[in-house]
Amino acid sequence: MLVTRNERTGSPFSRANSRTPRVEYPFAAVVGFHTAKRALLLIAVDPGLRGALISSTNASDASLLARGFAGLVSASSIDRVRSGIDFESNGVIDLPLNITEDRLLGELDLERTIATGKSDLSVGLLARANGQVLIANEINLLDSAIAAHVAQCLDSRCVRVEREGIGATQDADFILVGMFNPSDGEPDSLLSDRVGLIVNSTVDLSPPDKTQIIDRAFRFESDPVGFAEDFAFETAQLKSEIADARSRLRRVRVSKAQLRRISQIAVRLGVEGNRADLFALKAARASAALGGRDAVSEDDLVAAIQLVLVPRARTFPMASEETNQPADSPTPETTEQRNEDSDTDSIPGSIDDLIIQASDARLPHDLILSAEQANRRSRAGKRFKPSPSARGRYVRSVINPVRDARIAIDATLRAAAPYQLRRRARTDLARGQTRRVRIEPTDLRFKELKHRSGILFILAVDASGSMALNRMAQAKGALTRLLQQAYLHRDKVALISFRGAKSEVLLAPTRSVELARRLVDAIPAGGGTPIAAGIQKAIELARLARLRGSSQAMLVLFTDGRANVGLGDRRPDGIALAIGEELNQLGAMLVSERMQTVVVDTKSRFVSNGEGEALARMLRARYVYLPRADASAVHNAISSITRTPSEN
Amino acid sequence: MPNKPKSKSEAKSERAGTNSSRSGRTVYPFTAIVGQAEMKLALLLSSIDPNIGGVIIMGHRGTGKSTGVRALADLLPQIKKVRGCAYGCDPDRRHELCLDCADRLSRNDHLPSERGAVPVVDLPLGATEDRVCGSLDIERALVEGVKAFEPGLLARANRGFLYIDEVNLLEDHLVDALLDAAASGRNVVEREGISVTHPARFVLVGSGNPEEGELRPQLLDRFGLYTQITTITDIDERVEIVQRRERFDDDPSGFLASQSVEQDKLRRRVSRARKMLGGVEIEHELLMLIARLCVSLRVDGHRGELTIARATRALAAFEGRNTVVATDVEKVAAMSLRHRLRRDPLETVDSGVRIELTLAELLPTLSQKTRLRAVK
Repeated sequence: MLVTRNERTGSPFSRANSRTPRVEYPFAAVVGFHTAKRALLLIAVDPGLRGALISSTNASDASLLARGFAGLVSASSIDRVRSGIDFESNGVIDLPLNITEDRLLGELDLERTIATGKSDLSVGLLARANGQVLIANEINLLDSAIAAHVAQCLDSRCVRVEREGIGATQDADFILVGMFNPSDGEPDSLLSDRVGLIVNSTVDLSPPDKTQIIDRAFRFESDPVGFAEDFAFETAQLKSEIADARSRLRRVRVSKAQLRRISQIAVRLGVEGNRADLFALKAARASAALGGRDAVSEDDLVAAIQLVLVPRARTFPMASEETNQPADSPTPETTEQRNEDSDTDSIPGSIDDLIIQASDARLPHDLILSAEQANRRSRAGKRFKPSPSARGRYVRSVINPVRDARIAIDATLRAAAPYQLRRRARTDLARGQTRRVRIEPTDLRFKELKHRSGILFILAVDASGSMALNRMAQAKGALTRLLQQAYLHRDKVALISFRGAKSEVLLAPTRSVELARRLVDAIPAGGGTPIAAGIQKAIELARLARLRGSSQAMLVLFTDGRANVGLGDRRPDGIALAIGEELNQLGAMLVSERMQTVVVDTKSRFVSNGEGEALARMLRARYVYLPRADASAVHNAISSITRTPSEN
Repeated sequence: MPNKPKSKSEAKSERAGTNSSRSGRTVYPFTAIVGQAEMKLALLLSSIDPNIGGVIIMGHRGTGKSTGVRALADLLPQIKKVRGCAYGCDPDRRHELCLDCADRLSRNDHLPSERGAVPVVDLPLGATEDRVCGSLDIERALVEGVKAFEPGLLARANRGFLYIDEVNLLEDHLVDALLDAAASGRNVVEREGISVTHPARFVLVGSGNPEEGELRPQLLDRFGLYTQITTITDIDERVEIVQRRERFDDDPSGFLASQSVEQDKLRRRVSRARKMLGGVEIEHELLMLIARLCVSLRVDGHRGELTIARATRALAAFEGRNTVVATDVEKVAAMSLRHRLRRDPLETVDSGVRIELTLAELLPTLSQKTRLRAVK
């Protein structure tokens, strides 16, 4: 991520004169992105929409669009006088992914505190974004603590800081434009809930479009000012359209019937909370205003529903795209997947999907209890570990720094404070200096940063036909026990199921055991056994989680051990060998990704011929046999792995 | 951001200085909140009797959790405080005074008092421990060389409310500090050469979305009442929410004015209930019912019984009665016990339903007389 000029210039005093105006790529010159453009224009008309999240596989162009958007609104609408701060930053502030909490919220300003003796807060990024457009690329990879702060600002339009000896409230009223690549996961729900519009711009561009993009990029590169002038007319036109729409906005009428439609559709789509209704109303109004209408039309309503309500539909991941579930059945209980993928029909032994209730009938209750008790004694509570990196939360100050530690200014000043009179008397009296703060090396305190480093448990469940008969119920029982343990540790859980020819993520990494449990109860079963696909998904998930700061991932594979569907094309012969090779390679990958793996074998002993053990060997995994795998056995297997030296 | 032009009446309300948060923004009025009866009742009860021990509100995003809490501030009657006291001590409760006030009292035999608002303090995410608990005053230390204590948020929240939004995202070390203070009613600071103990009696109010992560059982148990809040699915109510919100956003103070009769009425009712509370009786038979309920639900400890008893008394006072009746128990049982049942996160039956069923089984054991009174 680029460090913006705002980041680099540091102190707010030096900022004003250190900058030359930079020309942004004009909004009107961005090729494609019709829906995203429309969404951004609606926000320009009614900033009450708070912002947009744009999902796009073309990150750099989406980012151009966002910056162009800032140029569009900054001149026409942002009230710099009121905010009292002249930023000269083209109305754009970038939110870098690696930003620390200190920089986001502001921290004790060392220079000024020492110079004046008054503790003073440096302006954090959120406060600096006041009256501007805050742009976040790859917003889905943002640390959840950072996302929570941004969400808080979107809510309250101000940032409240109670840190390092200072309490302050600063205005932080901004428009958030976040871009993300949907293949890297969804943005934090805290953010998507507080931003009005969610746009899917993942469209393949035609070759003429692409050549136009390249052509314009070259022209902009060689002569940005001239290029912007070429689009001056379009830009001016857009600006005047926005200005007209803004003045019209308050007059736009909406009927009660239209309000009811919005709410009805929100309920049908299972949209959570009541914020979305209001956003949809605002979007419909803005759309009418932009179209020069004084009343909301059907088209405006449809646009609003598409940009606000549809992306928030709580269709569970199980209702996959192909099945196209009716929108009014959002709960997992009702989203039983009925139509089989056509290719699973060819798998021998394929049976109808079964939804089997999780049952722990075979797990003696006292065993579970004792495992729980042992667990509580030993390691319940979150797994925290100090992280030597610059990320994480400033938890407290320490005297002995870890590697790369930053100075905790507040604590250092507090440590130095009691000695000031004495030190001044010693050194300054002769020279008449009295206000300077004397800091000696022994005063230095360092920030101890902690990063929540819970383990991510990726539970991959074989939901193939062979599992369906009765072992699925056992597996679900064991899974629920595992989830309970994850709950005690407040680890994260992700759920993958594989069957037929493919694997799907039922639940992206979450701390909500409740959600996971509901999904486990409703895993549909039937079809082939594509173990390799399941493992591949798990590795993908673990990589993503690492980008977001999870340090350790662990794969728990529930299967009866016989992989019969490979990753590639299926061939009538030699399947077993090819699959074996694949699994071997995946095993090596798991090792190189440092993912610990446990294979939980669900096959009954009478029919087992060691497939589970063979699989575990190929995957370099620990092997647990399910009928004995009550909570304690699974727990032991897992805890022996998770107790790595780094945690001690 | 690009601001809507400020309406005329909005400017007026800023001058009047009522119903605004510290940041100067108008707060949505409590009486205009649509639905969410359980949350509203829990908040009112704990403002009538702070000893109930706070409220936690868990539920979906965007369902009005923080709107409810922020609106509460405006309903609270003013209280008497010692003038100039950092902790807002009550001059009439001499055994609860902070050290400064006790010192002043011993010298003057009289404490100057003033009336002021009940503090409702927001604990922002990312707050550091020194600001929450208080710490050495850096400025005074640097400039004057004096080791002075700078009170933190806990000091400010004394005798009022401490609100934590997204409570499940709170750092563990802060949670510990809060729990210590909430349990003892005092904040003990021992850091950076400072040694201070000051009163910190506050009602803890938390809200969060269970899908962001679960709460530690120790923290849960600290909250007197637990209310669950869900998305409103009634179309008429939803439309009403949107319309009211729009009216409020367009003209905050005009909207406030339209609610002022209702707000005043509720404010007086809370005020009256606070005064009545001391005289509300609870019959032995109902206490037995409460105890039996907790036993059949296998609630550990006796915080459950105490909470129900307190909540029923507050409810009776709110409804202008000086005796508790059986329906009071029915109304508060679920919110008092929901979070105290044996924690099995994988339980499918809603805890609230379990509590109500158990209570329904126990109700027939009441004597005719008590039951009749309940009906009345």
